[in-house]
Amino acid sequence: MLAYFVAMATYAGFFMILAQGLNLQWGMTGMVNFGVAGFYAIGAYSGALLSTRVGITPELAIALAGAIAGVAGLGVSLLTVRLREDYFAIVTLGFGEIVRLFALNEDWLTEGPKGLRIPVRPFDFGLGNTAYSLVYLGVVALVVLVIYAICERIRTGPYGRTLRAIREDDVVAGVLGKYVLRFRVQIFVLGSVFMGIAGALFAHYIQNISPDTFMPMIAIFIWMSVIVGGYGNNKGLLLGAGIVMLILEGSRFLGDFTSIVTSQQLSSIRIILIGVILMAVLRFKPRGLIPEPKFVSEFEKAS
Amino acid sequence: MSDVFFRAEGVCSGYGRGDIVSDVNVAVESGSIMTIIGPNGAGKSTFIKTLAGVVQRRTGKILIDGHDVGGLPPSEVSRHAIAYVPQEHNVFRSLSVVENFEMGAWIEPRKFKSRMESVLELFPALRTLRAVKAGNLSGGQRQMVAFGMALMVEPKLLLLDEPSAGLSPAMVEQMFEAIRQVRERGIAILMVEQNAMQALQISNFGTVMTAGRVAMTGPASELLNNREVAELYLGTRA
Amino acid sequence: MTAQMIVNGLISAALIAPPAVAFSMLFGILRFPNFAIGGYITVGVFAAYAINVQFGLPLWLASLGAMLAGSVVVWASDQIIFRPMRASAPVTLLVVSIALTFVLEHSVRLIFGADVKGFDLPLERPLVFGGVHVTRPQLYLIGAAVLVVIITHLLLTRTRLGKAMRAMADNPQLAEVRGIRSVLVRIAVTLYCGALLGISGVSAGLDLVIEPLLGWGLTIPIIAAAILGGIGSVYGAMLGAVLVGLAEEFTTLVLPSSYKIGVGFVMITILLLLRPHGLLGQPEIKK
Repeated sequence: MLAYFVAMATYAGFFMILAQGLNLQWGMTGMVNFGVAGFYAIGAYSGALLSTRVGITPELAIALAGAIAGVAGLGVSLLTVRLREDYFAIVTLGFGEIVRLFALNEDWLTEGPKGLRIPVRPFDFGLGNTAYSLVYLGVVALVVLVIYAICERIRTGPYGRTLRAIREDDVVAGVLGKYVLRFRVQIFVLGSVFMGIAGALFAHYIQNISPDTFMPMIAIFIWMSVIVGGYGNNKGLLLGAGIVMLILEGSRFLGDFTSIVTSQQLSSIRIILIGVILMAVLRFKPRGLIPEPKFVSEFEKAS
Repeated sequence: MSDVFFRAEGVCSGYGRGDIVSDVNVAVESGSIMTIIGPNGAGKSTFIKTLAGVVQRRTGKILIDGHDVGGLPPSEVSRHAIAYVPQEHNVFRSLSVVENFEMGAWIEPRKFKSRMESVLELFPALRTLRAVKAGNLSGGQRQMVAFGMALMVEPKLLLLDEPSAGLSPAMVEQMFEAIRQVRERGIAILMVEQNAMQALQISNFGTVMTAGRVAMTGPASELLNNREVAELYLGTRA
Repeated sequence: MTAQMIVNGLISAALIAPPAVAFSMLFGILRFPNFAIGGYITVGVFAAYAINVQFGLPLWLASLGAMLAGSVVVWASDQIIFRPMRASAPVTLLVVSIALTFVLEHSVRLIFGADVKGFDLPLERPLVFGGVHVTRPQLYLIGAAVLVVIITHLLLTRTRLGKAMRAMADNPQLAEVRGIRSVLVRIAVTLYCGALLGISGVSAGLDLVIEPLLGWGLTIPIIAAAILGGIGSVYGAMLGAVLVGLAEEFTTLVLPSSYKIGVGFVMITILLLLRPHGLLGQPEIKK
């Protein structure tokens, strides 16, 4: 039982890291990244290949994987930073799919659909399995907290205020001119780094990755976390990630107790549920469940 | 005024927090032109949009022939013999001139052919441009189409938002001449104009709006001879 | 660059042209790229499947059923979801439409299962014209696409309703002012586009395999075709479909065919970067 909860919490941790990365990109600068799965996959595969094929120590491999995902993020954002947000979403979605197709086809590198095995264990202090899973959870939790701290720092600092201004108002953004583009690229890269790290941590945890782990569905789940939690808001998205995790795992739980539905049907039910909730939240509470407090100017308060 | 066909009473409206138009009263008789002038930001355009139903009126009545059309959406307002010509984006650019007129006659499709004839008599220059996409016309030609579209339903009240905006002096002449001719057909015309002098010269009545309210109203000749009005509004052209 | 490849490209084009037209028309009134077209297509093809295979009725009847199902689902999703949200930002609507497409496709999967299916058709040898192989269903597909193009053209240029649809796409506020009741025109557009998407589903089921994620796989080439032609331009969508269809075929010369879906994305990206308003479309008129 404990093992199950530890595993669930670890998965939630990966989600939270992804959500924080996305939240930086969208919540703070309005860049709608639907290619989350792509950066996740790049982090997973680079980390895996670095530690298995190249033989780098896994801890380092995870960090490098983040950097590689960051470089990918640089490429994508430089190309697309000027696009209108819905077109940006479509292009990033495309990026995610192309990454997946690449992983699927270039099996000389990625083992394709067979799956890439990662028999390497980072953070292995020679402990037994139970202890190891707790250590892993601890590491993931630590990463979540560090990233949280970084994001909070950004959000509350002058950099963050500028970012919010850009997100809320194109005119302000227009006045700032080329700096807007630079900000956007920087934030996008940072977010991609986080997603890459999440991917590498995930790969070394689950120890076997294949392209169909990185379906576009992931983007929907992570988007759910960010939107349900209230965009721009770091506290909210941890709640959001938790809720999504609950739905995903809760339905798995349900599956274990009933034999009426097959696992295939269950996965469809799960997706339908998440999709409907996402639509409902956007329809009725677009600012999320814990919305950011609106920025009220002194002028408005006075009148 | 015995023959008042259209009356706005105590109309208030706005976009956000405050009111842009506050307690405005305007009356227009059939077969006459009422021009509203005033400085930029006085709310003239917003007022006309409110009458057309484009901006929601908050309080007040908008009475045409005794019937209150306030609160109706634009598509219903236009079914009460009111036709509004916006200042900008007033033609369907991807449709041809003829198709624009067809859309103008949407409410009364059977009268389309005959009314298009009468509009082309008013603007003969458009005759050769019938198949041209409105987006490819010059600014002046587009204004003619926009105006013509509104006439397609033979409205009893015509609401014009700066009909001379962006037009060359020759075109402005032509436009005001057309407006005069429309008045002769017995239509009530309410227009907002920056080109105050020329507009008042063809109008029967005038109203000055400032800061969302009516500052002055009366026969056009009085406003033209009023020193304050002359200094503030008649010296400048659009 | 063989003749067979060109014909295959044209068949792909015939497959994506009708839904690309529907996508463009929908964009004209919805004002956002509606990703749910994938889900709508899936609903259409499975409605046809149910009628044809499960009830044993002929394919033409199943096609009508698909059109009806398509109309209903597009109209209903607009009534319940998109129209009430019409003041939202396009990207929010995009996210909602992506969620919707997953919900629709997985609902279909839940009901019909995930296995690959096919229509109840007699097996036939492909016809051969001068070395080029075409199956009879593929000919019907091309015929259907041509019919859709002609009917849509006539609708938009010869009927009052069609012109009102174009007027609304051009300038919705002016359309209202001139007396066009936008609610009614909107309903008409959703019903018509739904029918187009339904029949597109049948075409897809004829040429490809019937499975719940069929629509998703087609979504990108469809959107690429519409953007290529200039989003909002119906004739552009048709031209775009031909170009995308041919491009997909030609890429198989260089890359393995499983990269096909990537072609659409790459095309979209290049287009958006170079010519955001496509080949025939107009730049978006900002309010």
